[in-house]
Amino acid sequence: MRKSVKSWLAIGTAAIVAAGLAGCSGSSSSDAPAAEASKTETSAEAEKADTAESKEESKNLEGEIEIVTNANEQTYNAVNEILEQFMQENPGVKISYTTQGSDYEQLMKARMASNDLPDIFATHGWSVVRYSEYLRPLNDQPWFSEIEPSFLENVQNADGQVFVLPLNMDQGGLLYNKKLLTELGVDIPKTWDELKDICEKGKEKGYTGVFIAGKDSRQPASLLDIAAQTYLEVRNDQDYTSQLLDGSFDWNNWTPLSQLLVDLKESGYLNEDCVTCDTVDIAPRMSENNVLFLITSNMDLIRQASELNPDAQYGMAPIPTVDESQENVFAGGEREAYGVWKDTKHEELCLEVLKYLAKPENVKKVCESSGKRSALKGVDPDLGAVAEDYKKYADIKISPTFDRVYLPSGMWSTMRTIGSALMGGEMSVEESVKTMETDYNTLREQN
Amino acid sequence: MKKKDRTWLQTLVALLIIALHITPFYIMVNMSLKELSDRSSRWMPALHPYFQNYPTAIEHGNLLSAMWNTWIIAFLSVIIIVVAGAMAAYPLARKTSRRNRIILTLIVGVMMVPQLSILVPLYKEMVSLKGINHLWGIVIVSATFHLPMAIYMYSNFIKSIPKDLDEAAMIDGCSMMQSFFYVILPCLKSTTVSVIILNGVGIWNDYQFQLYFLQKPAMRTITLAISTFFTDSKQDLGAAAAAAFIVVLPPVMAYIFLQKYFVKGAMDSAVK
Repeated sequence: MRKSVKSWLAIGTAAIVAAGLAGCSGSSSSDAPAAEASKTETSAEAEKADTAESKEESKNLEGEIEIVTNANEQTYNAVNEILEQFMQENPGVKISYTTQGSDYEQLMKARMASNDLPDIFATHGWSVVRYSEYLRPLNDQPWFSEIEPSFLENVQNADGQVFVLPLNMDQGGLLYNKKLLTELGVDIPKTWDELKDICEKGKEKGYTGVFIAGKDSRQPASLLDIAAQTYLEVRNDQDYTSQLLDGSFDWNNWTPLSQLLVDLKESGYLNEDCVTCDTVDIAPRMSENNVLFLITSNMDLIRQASELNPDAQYGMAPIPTVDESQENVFAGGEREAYGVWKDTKHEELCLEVLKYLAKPENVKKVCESSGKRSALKGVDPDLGAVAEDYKKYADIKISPTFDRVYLPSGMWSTMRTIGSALMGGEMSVEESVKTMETDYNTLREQN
Repeated sequence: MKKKDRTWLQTLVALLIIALHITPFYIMVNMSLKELSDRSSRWMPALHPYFQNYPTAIEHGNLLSAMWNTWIIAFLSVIIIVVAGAMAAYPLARKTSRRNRIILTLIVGVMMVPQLSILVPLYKEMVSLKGINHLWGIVIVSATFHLPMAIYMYSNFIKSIPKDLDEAAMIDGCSMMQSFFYVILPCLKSTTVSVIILNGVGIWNDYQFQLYFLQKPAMRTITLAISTFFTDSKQDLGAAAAAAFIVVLPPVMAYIFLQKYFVKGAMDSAVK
């Protein structure tokens, strides 16, 4: 009996294995209808005959690669179009291009830990700090010299190596309502104090000073991140940045930043629903011509608002400074940027794809669909209303996004927590500073 | 009069409970009929129904392929869970030696391990097995994670079946395998229904594992397809609600028509 129980256990285990194998065979049949559904994976076989000539001209590229991104719909569609064109010109190439939306970061962390990365992937602002050890340096590429000099330091490590092809860039600063500022008879604010004065004037007339869609905790965090540029990063009188990097930063210096958010809230300059407002409502609310300022890196909002109401004309300006003597800057960083996995089996093909993406007409397409500035020289995208402002401030320095450079990885979620809590009145300024300090020290040790 | 009052109260409570249960469905259907630009409250009925969300949900979300994938995954996983679970539970329940008790405790212990805590090594393993983006990969993972509960349930129920049944079968000339398939397994019908419902629903609703193991758009399951409507820059609640409405229809229909079997299954397993 005892022996037979043993053999039963063995059979049970064997059944699990066998059933697993049964699952394998089941999948092959179910692959067929599923594969039909994929649009991007369609191989360009059908075009083979048509493009026979161009095939002779170009290199005989072959292979199947995976490209992933977290791009939004417009950017994804633009890049997808370009890649499909590439596949038509190179019939032996099959590209699977997918967007993973908001789960992208989680997914990439698991894939990094398993050293199983896509051949080409978007680095969403982290090409140097997080992904560089998995990426192939791209300084030897023909398009390298085309990267905008004012932007280059955003994607460069200490040795001057660049790991991505940046297509467009984020430019964070101040959005202001042109019509309302004229009505109030004021200029674009240069300092935070001027901004508060204008908010006070606007408040008397019933306008919202600064608009925040705080249901998404990234919004208040982004305000802190952008404001940190002038409060901490670009200071003439203090060297906070190197202190932040070497760990000797006195966190009491963060107090004015938390205080700024609390002041805006308590003085009634923020929209009443600043804690509950959804991000989808930003452009519609801007179009109601009731909002004076936004502190954001999404300059495309200007276009979106004017589409909804042509009368809602917004302009873009650099981040307000702490005092008059300070230099004006924009906060900036990579947006859609692609790097090549260093262990890819199709390195040559991947580099060709990047070369193709870097063509001025392709970069232009991506910039226009995303409403963002080009990160490469010689591209002049039509960015509508905001194009004028981009030209006007072309010489203003684009300073790298604060948290990506000076805070340890993981602090972004702390900033999201304190931003929401400060706005909701759940945390005092002192508590927020303490939280930042504690998390900074813990994360520094971990990293 | 008193009795009448009580009936009235009961009806009221029942109606309240119904209202509570119907609320999420109401909001789902209501939102699926609103345009993205409609910023009215979610409770406010859609006065001008906007049906375009449905074609968007089906085309943009690739819903039909997602439903097919989910169905295949749930079906294959549940088969493995039922067959392997019942077979593994049989000897563990029949021979209650110390070693078997330890094995059973270990199996139950596995249920306590949070799925995400072992994600990275599991993902690594599946990469080396080339199981990423294949249905068989996710089927193995889902089945493995749901097996402990099935084994636990089956072994408990098998314990309640008198051993005499096995012995009688053996006296009549059955081998152990035959007595399991011909005598014990038919007694486990009600448990099997519970196992199918619990695990089937769990796998149908799974999101985390499917997110990691099925990254290609063609492989997306229902939960992943619906999540594509929520991105950093756009939250298309209308299309997501329409998609959710379409995908809950088949299970809801199945439940309505097969209700008596479900209830019976759950009741029987409770009594046993």
